[in-house]
Amino acid sequence: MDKILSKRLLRDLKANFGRYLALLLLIIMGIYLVVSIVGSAEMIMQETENRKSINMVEDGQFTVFVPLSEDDISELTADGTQIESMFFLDLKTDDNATLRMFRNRENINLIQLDEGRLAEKNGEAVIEKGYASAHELHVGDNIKAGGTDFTITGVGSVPDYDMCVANFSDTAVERSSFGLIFTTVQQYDELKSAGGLNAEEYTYAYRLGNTTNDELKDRVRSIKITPEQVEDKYFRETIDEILDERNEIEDGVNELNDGSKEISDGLEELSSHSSDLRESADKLFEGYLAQSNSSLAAMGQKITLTEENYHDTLETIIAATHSEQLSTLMKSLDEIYKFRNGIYEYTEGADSVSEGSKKLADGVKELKNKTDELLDEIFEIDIENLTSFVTAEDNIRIEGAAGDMVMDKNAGLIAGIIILALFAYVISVFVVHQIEQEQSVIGALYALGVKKKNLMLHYITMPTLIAFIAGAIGAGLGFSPIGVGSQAQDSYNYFSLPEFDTVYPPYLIAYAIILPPVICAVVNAVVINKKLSRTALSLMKNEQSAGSYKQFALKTKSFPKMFAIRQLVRESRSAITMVCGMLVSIMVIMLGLDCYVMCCSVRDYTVSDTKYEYQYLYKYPEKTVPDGGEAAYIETLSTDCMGYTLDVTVIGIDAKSKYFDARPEKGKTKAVINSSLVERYGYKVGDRVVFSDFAADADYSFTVTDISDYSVGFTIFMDIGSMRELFSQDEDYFNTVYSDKKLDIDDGRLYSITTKEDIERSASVFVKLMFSLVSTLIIAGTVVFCVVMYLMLGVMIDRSAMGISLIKIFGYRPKEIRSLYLNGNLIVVALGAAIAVPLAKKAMDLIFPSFIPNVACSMKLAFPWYLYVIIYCAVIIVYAVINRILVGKIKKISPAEILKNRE
Amino acid sequence: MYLQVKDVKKSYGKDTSYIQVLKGVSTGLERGQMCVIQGTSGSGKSTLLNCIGGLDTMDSGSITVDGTEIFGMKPAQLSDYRRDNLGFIFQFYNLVPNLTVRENIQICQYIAENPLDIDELLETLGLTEHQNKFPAQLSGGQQQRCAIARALVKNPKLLLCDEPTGALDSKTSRDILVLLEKINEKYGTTMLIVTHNNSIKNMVHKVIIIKDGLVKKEYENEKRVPAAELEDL
Repeated sequence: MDKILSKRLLRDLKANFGRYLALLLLIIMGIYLVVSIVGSAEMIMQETENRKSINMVEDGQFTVFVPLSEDDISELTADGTQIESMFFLDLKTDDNATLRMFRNRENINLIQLDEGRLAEKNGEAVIEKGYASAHELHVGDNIKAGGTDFTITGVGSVPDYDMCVANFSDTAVERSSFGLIFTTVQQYDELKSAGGLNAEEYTYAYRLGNTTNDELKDRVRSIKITPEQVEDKYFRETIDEILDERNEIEDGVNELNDGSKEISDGLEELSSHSSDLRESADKLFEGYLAQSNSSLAAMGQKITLTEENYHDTLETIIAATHSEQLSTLMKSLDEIYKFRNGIYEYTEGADSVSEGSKKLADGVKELKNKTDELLDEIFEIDIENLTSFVTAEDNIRIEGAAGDMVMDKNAGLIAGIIILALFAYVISVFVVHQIEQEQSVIGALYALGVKKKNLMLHYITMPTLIAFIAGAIGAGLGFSPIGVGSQAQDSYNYFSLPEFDTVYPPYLIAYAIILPPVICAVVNAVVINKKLSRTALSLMKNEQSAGSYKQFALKTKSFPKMFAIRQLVRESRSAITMVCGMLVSIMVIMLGLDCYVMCCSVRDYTVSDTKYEYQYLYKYPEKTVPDGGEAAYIETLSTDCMGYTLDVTVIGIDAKSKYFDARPEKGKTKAVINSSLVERYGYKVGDRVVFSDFAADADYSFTVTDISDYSVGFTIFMDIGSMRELFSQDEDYFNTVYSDKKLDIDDGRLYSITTKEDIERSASVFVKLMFSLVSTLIIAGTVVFCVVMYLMLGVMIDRSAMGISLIKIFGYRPKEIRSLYLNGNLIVVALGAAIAVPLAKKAMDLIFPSFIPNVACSMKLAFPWYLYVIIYCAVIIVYAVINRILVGKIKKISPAEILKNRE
Repeated sequence: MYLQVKDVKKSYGKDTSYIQVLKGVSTGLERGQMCVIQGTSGSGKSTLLNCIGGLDTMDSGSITVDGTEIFGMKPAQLSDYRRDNLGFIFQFYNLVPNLTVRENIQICQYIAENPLDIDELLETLGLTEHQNKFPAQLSGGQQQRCAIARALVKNPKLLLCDEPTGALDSKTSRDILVLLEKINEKYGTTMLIVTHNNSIKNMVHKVIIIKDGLVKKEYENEKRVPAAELEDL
């Protein structure tokens, strides 16, 4: 029996060729879509991971002012950590491009050659493949850079410049204007010693041994140098500014010390003459007393005047004698006595001041010593050699492509789930319909004694085989150059990647090859099993359950209208099936459109929200804001998004900022957040938001005071004064200047200059990078939609075919047939599309944030109204075309044939 | 003659599968006559009926109905011809399963220029109480009555019946034949009935016997037996 039944298989295939072909196409496209997107993402992610050990990718890198000594390196590598210098010189080419010259790598970030060999002697160089491609350079060609001619011996890439940008702050890869070359050590050193080039950057790459990034960083930080060793003039200037402040304090204290010492010395000298002065005063007084005694004796007064009695004695005698002479004598003695006492008082005071000034001098001396100690402590003379320390995770140049693939993989997986649901759904509808058409045959075979198992096997075989073949073809196409290869092409065109080998993740193979036939077999088994639970007679008679048709009253007297409504309601199950099929297949298209719209929004809003022409980010801030510039203070904090750490830029701005609309209130905990944060996290005014500074192990909490319609990255705005206070900066500190014209700021003082043009270019990169993904999703989604529409409409029209043919026999004209049967389908499709299009959009919008958890960007997914109209019209057009094809088929069948088949 | 068939030939297939079903059939029917076409299976009777009904095209020959030539008509013209002139009754009823009895009848009422009153027809055919039922809720006889009502509602000039009692039991068959007889009398409808049933030939005005694609014999009944009295149905 099985053998006989198997003969039907090919005939069945021939009879239902269109449907099987549609099913085949649906599965092929679905599997191709998922495999190509997810496969390319997996290839780039897995191969990038694999390259870590093959190319000895660094765990991080650091840059220093002064090259490390042998001792420093020995100390840093004692725990097994590997360190290799990645010093480089930027060479200019004739067309003003920059070629960053490195020595050949030995242990870390090894060069992976796509063609050729490494440089072995002077005049040879390996060139980075992106630059080579942009300039159409090949092995054997010559290039001139830094005034030196090089012969290209190889073309390749290095893992530490996966995203080949000159600076970490660069936002987009410019293949034609920046690239890398690798030469021999000797060639490098010769060019360096020849001079005339920009300063060499002392960068070291490391691979950790028995230590951590933080421990290594601490150890590098502990390596000190003196300011004199630093060549960077702006760094020197900053050091000098700091030292000037120290010198000023030190000079002041020294002056104070010197002054107090001078005073002390003077007073000491003054004090040293006090006893002479006192003695002279004593002598003067005593002399005058002796002279007075002599005068009294001459007058016959036998008295001796002393210091103690002269005043009282003379007073008594004067009272008795009224002698004018004695009165004058007494007055003179009083004056001299007073003078002597005055001298005494003065000398005692001078002694005391002298002693005090000595103490003051001692104190000031102590103050000076302590101040010197304090200044030594505050203005540390020894400075850290480390200028930057970047771990591989934080390095945008490393694994840029792999990071970019997160969205592709997530989108592919979501598309995979949708497609899988669509398969199950379409297959079930397909199978149910086919089994219903075949139920009299099944009944007859069942009645003839064919076992359920055999019947099941018979009906399962063809669709399962089709599903398996389609899955295998889809997987084959997906993993082929037109699948994974073309998907990865955008990454190859943007990032500097070696040619990766295609990877075959087991889950993807299982998804592509095993799941479609399994779903098909299971759905078939369930449906056939259900059918075979009925009696053979019931199946043979093709009995239909009357209960499935609902009766209801209609007010309309118009027969076609009433008929169409009844037909619509009675076929509501088919209609719902159709709409569900539409919904799911439109979701795939929406996924692509959402990706496209988001990329375009990021580009457009980034450009429109960037109101400045230049952004200068300072490495060594100035004291005064350059003319024509607007100062701002920028810090970077972090937030978490589904396990990914994303940067949040904090911008401190003036209340009257010309370049930002945000108007933050004063306050260290008050901030205006941008619309991107609102779109991603749903924050609102009044919420408390917390962002982290992982390096400082600190969290910062802010109250949202307003929301700014600013879409660039994740940004919060603070009042610049409050921000300076929060981050303990000087009152006039700023590290960024915005301007609408080019400012005259020395390059060496800056980390980066970002122009609006740069921003426009980098914002457009997103659209470029996503092109493959978006186009694949939209094209494959459209094909899937058409196929689903074909299958579903086929089912609906099939169900009406008998009725259509019959009324055709009765003499109905095409217009009347349309009004009775086919217009109902149009209404279903029109209404269904009106529901499915916005619903699919809504569903995709809800899950879309999960596609790009690793990108801090705005999430504006709103479609312009005309896009909805276009999609809607496209659905109707697809319907019209498919309907025409299917109805055309019915038209071709002669009425007699239909009657014959029916009977 | 109301219906004139002249030298109609019809074949199917090509090469080894080629078969000529009608080899030059010629016959005719007067207006208001009931006629039975009899023949063995594969004799070509249904093919002839389909050609007359414009459901199938003929290779050559001529069929005129009320003076209108069918041969060479385009599908749209054939459609109008069926619409204006014909009613069909099939062996397996061919009711639209998701339409009620009334709606199945309305299908033909809608395109008729002078349709009969549907309620009267339902009453005549004993379907009034079943008018809101779906075909699956009816017996075979009820379904065939519904099919007859659907064919008659247009008040067709020519009613083509392909084994109208083929799927029915004897009693129901008789009921249906009585009904057809009544209709013929009441509306003067010309009827062409293809049947295997030998008894039916006794109730009609004319009998045509086809064998191997040719009219083997045709005759008119001088004495018709009323349908109600037919035996061995």
